[in-house]
Amino acid sequence: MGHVPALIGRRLPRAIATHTALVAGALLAMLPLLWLVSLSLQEPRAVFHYPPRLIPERVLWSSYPAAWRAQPFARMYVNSIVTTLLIILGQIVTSSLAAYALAQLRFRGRTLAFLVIVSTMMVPIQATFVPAYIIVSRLRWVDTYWALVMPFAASGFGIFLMRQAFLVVPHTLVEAARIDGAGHWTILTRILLPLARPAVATLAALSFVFHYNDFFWPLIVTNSARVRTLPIGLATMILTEGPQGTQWNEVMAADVFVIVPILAAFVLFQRYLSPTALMTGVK
Amino acid sequence: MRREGLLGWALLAPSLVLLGTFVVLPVLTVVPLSLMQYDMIASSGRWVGLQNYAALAADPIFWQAVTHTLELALGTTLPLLALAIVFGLMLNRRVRGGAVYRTILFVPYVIPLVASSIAWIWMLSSHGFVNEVLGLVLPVRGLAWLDSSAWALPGIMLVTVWQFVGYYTVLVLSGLQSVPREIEEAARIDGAGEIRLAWSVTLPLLSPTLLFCGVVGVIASFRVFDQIYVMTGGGPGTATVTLVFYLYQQGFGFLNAGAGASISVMLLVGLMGVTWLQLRMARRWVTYQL
Repeated sequence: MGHVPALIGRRLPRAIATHTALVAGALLAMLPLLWLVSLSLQEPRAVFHYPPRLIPERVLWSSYPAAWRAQPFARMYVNSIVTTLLIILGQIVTSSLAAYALAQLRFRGRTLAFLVIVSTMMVPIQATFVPAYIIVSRLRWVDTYWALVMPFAASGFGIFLMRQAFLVVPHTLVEAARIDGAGHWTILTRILLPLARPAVATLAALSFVFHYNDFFWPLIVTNSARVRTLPIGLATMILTEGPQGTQWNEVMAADVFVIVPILAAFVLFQRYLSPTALMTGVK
Repeated sequence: MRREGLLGWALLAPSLVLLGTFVVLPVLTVVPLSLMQYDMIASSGRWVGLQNYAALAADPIFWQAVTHTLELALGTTLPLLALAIVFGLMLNRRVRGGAVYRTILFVPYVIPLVASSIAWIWMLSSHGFVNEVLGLVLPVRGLAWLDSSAWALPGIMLVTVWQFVGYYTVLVLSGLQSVPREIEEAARIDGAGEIRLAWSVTLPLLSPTLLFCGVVGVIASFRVFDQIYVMTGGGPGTATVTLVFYLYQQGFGFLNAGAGASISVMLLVGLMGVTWLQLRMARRWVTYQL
């Protein structure tokens, strides 16, 4: 009897402290994004206002159409979405084929091939950009979709992930199908891939985050609006000042354009960004 | 067996050709390229021996870039580990709304850094929210972070910590969930308090996860680029030039491929060295469960 109030007395303050810390963390995580949306709805000089104002005094929508015209954003949306989807498609196809070979077939050199593939996951990719750029320019791919897509159309991580997914499929299942006369193609497309759907979704989700957001590589291999992607358009907006200087409300509105698709994708696919996927997914 | 071999290599071919051309070949050619003076526009070069490395050794900006890269590694990885442990321990206690907190903390990780960096330019301005929030506890007033050569790099660290904190919290949380409840229960019955329990029982059991986060965190910090490009352009002066940013300036700004390649080699070697050091030191503090 006597220790019940004591328990409440100890637990309640701790719960309050925990929630206070978590709410503070969540607010700080959201603050830059909330302010960005707020600044897109205020007059251009609101960024200089002191103290900073989170709730706009009056809401101005005009920055959105102006931002849309400031850069060829329609074209950049197409470029970003199409190249990202092509990369994802390429990775799913190349990774499933390679993973089938590594998980289901026995042949000489298989282990070596797997080791080479896994070791490509550990390379800090920026350190290869100078020679990679020279290769891409020798192929005459600079400023084309090829340069944006092909270097990422295969993925060591993707192969690793798909191989793991194929390895856990019961061997008896594959054997039974083979006895029923199923060939390699049928086994891959009708048995293994449907069972590996979560792995495919994880690969697609992580790849979307990496490549939709990618900046350094698209920055160096593109130079015309024809193929440039959204992050480049955004960076161009702040680095080229107009006659009246940078219109910050328009920049923030453009920022919202760029963030909305990835945020929507995150809400839809967040369950595929599981900790295990993240552990191995670091490139 | 013979036919499986043929099929096997045929299925591996697309991946091997692409990875070979765009990852393996660049890694193999970056060293010879660093021994050349190479014109990226004419795509022709000549051998110059160790000249690019000699130039780097005599270049004060290169040494600043090395220092800034190491500072950035420490200044992001340590706060990230600390925050991830705190948030991870809190969320592991099945708090109400835990999934919501976890998701919100994770959001910055999926936002394009170019986009969030633009917001952070103003978060860190003399009249931005960072000073407002810090002003609640510290006597900060009107500090223009990105205009100050002392505070611009800490500003970059702040953005990087903000971006990754949810990511490492998720990793720590998954590590915590594999810590057996019985061990914690036993310690609690033996009379261990919350803090003692976390320090002497939970953290040692979590140490393999923390090692993983530490290694990955340092690698990620070596790759930081977008926020520097957008927020400071390496400045003020050279205050936020890191190895990756210097590699960009030399290789793609001044089109000096040889210099860019030699910085790339230093980056690769440095990263391997730091990772090796971390794994070696880990023997002293990482406990593996039997």
